[in-house]
Amino acid sequence: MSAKQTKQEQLEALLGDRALVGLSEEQQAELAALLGGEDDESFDRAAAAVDLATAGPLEPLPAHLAAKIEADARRTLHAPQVSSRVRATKDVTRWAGWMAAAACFALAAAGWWRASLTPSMPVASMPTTPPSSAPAPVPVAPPTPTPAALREQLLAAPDAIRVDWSTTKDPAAHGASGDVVWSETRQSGFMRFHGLAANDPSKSQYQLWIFDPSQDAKTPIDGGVFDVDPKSGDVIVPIAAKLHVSGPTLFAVTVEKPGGVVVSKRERIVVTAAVKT
Amino acid sequence: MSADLLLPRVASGDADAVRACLERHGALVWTLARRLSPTRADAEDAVQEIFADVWKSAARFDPAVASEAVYVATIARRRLIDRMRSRRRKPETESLPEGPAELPDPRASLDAEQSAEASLAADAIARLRPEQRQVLLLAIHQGLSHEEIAAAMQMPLGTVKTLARRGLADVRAWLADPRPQLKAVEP
Repeated sequence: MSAKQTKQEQLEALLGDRALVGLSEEQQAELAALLGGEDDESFDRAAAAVDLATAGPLEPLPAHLAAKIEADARRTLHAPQVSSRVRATKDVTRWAGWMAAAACFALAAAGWWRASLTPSMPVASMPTTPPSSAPAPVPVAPPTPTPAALREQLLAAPDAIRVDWSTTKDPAAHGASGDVVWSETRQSGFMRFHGLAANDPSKSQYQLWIFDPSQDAKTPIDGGVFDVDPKSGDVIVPIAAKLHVSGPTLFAVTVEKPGGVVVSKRERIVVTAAVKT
Repeated sequence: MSADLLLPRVASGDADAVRACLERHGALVWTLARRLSPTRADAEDAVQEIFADVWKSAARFDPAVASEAVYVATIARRRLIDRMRSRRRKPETESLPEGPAELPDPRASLDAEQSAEASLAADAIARLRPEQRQVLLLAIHQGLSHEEIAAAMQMPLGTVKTLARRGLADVRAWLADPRPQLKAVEP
């Protein structure tokens, strides 16, 4: 059997599993890599058609529930553009409550800023493998090119955005600073941290969440889990978005159990970075 | 087949289309949610999330690819599967069925108002091998995981996965083009 056939079989197995029982985060990443930026919902539609065929007599939607859903929809569906804008704004405001009042800092003047551009920059480990669909594979070990150099290259992209982190009152964020860089066309990005508390990977890990208008605010895009080594003060972390990110509105880092979670309870939000639109 | 399309109107911000959409697809979504949710309260939460997804995804609807009912059901299933997986990750586990429950007869339960794709899907299911059909319906209709089906049917996990995947692939192929298979079955 050729490698191409094997790849196709694996792709169809994952598409089938997604439609029937859902996928783990690892499987989602594998599927995204195999799909290469496209999607194939034909298996999902087949499962839905079977569901329709076997649904039997339908039970009416309770009137009070229909009224609530309609009222909610009317609040957000004044216009198509408004719909996504409102959601994006709601995402930001929901998380904004956790943000520190103002964590503006002069990045260019900060010593760590310059230090982070040096080749000896420590790199946070990324236990989860970034999706291979990411255009620019990012090494997690320091050889050439360094993460700092890759970040600089990404910053030169025409659509690159850079947003400073705002800290919360979480103890891990005390004295932390840094920024996030993201390029939509390259679907690639980096987080930079200075002073973020080291974590014990056997007890907890940091996890990045990316909000965009295409995702429900309750389930932002998983940007990957990472660790901060106690020996390193400054770290650069490549972003490993599990799904395509379109017009990010907010980046947020939480503390989660080892391995991360699919949906965060948002019990410990450490830093956030709201994208100004 | 169907009357006017509602999702494009929802996508354009037509609030009246929202009510019409709820009237047309609300019962389907509620029925799916009730079946795949542990409690009525959970089903109510799920339905609200599903319709929020529907409004958000309305602009992506393509009538050339699927009917509105299938499109809405696809969104509903994805959300319900996510919720089921989330529940399974929690420490408290729900009791598994002791054996395969009674499964619906696709042909008998097909409603006249349901889409042509559902009718084709019923045909496809009816043509599956019995064990393939049973595994597929346990997954789709009852929302059981591969492991739960393997336990319920006392089958190896690998066999369950293979039967489920091939069964769904056969249904998908049938939906895409039933004619070549009709020729094969009815020479």
